[in-house]
Amino acid sequence: MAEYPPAFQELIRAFRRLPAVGPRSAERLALHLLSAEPAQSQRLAEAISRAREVIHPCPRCGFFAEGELCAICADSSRDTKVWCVVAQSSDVISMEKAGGFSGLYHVLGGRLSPLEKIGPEQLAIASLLRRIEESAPAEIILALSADVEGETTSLYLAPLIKKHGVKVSRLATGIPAGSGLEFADRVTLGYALTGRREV
Amino acid sequence: MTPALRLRLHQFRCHAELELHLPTGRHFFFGHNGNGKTTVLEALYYVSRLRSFRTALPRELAAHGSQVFRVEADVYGRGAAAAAGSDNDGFYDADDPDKLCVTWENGARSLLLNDQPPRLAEFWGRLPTVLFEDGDRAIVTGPGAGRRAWVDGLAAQRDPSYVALAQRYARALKQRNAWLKSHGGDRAVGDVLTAQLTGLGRAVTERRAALSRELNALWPSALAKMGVPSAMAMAARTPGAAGAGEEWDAADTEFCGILYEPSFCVDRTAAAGGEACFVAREPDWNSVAGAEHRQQVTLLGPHRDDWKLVLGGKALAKFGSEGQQRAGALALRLAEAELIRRKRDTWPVFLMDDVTPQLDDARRAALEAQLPAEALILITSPEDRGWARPGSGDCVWQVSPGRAELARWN
Repeated sequence: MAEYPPAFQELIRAFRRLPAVGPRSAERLALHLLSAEPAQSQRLAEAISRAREVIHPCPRCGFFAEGELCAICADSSRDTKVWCVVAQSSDVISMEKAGGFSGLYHVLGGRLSPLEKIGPEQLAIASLLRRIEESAPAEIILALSADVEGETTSLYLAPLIKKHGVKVSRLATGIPAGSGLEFADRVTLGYALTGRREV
Repeated sequence: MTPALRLRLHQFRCHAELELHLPTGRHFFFGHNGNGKTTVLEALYYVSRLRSFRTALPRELAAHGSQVFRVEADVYGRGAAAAAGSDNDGFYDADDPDKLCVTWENGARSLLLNDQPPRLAEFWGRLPTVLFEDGDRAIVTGPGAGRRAWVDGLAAQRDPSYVALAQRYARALKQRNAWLKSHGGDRAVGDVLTAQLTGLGRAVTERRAALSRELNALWPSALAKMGVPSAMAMAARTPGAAGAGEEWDAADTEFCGILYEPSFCVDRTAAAGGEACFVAREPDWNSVAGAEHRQQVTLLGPHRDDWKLVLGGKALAKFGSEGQQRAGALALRLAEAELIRRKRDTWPVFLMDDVTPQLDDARRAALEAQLPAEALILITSPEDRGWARPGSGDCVWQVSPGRAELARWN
């Protein structure tokens, strides 16, 4: 039975290592690149290579930076007294797209998960505490997911941050927009009740 | 009311394509072994609970050589009225159906509810089902895990929000066990996980306690109706009572009931309106700290709950005859169906996979008498053993791979 040449198979394997790319998608991507103009593959290769060269974690917050600091830390108009702690750099983009927040960020690089062997040492928690000591923010918002891992990370961080006299808050959780009460479990409903607001 | 169904299968086990229109009532599926009778029940169970009762591996549900399968179920709201006769061949009323669709392709599952991707909790149990199968005796005699899974399945079908709660508890338990396996890891992380597990575990325990009380009220009477003498004695002793007592006096040799044995202690209080209210206590983690450290698993929590089924003052699992145990399991299933009906205001679909061979004529008749006339009931059997009677309105199907023909409508 005929197979793809070794170099082609290696290309498929490389795509498969990417998140959310299954065997069929990897094959389709490889076929597309090899059948398209060579310039397209070249451009992709150069874009990946350049991104790897120039992008690095911001030494202050951990978000993507091209210069010395990321665009947010370098922006003097941001409110330096309110910070938002997020798990991933992509969460910064989500928060910025949502608008309404003009403070600074701190990217942890994940969430506490003993199952995946992610403990406090694997996250940017020490750098967060150092940064708090140096800059003394007034409030830190924990913008972590409401699942077990996000909850664990929030509950772990809150007392550590409070020790520095900083106000700690969390994003409100509860009933998703457009969803019915009958599908909310008791814990979620509890959060929603706790975080209720006057209308 | 029980819905009527239109079921469509694509590359599901031996059925490359199969479409069935099922009005409310009893449907008998006859055919040789391997012709796909149980597969029809399995497909309905899958679209109801997103798993099979025959395999844990979804890829085994795909037809041989196929990397994809799909199950679609259109659930019509007023099946009973439709079955009695309507403008469209006596099958469906004009209501818009709830359209459920599960597709599995190359290891990935996707769901559609009325052509939109739903949240899992919105889909799971949307079509309530109760499965009767030969292996049900294991709920009575097997390890506690089977009873926990059964009670959780029932709780989730009664109340969709239980799915999310049980999933969160299971995830928190996995994380805490992983933390214990890391030899204690960071102590503060362990404390946070323990606090989460406690909160979620108490919520699960309280839900299970309330459900167990209702089960205990139904199971003895269902068992008595199955003609089990000890249960009949109990029913005769407490005529009209809601059910068995919740405390088992070991000296009471007529006692019949289901006793919930939770890992967390539960207090029962009276809420407003006289309803019983259950409050799970904060567990004493210190009492198991040493053992947890040695065994590296969580030793307290609902994952260690169990239920004791007692018949005639004795544990049914240990001292019951095989016939009593089978009757006990059937009574559990009947109680399950009734509890779903009470909460959802509709009977679940009864999926009965060749359950009659092990029953004598009297017990089979007793079971038949307990099946509600207004429910959708699917019964598989290699051959007609006398259930499908002329004039009863029963539908009799002959099943072969890719085909299900309505052989007669009695």
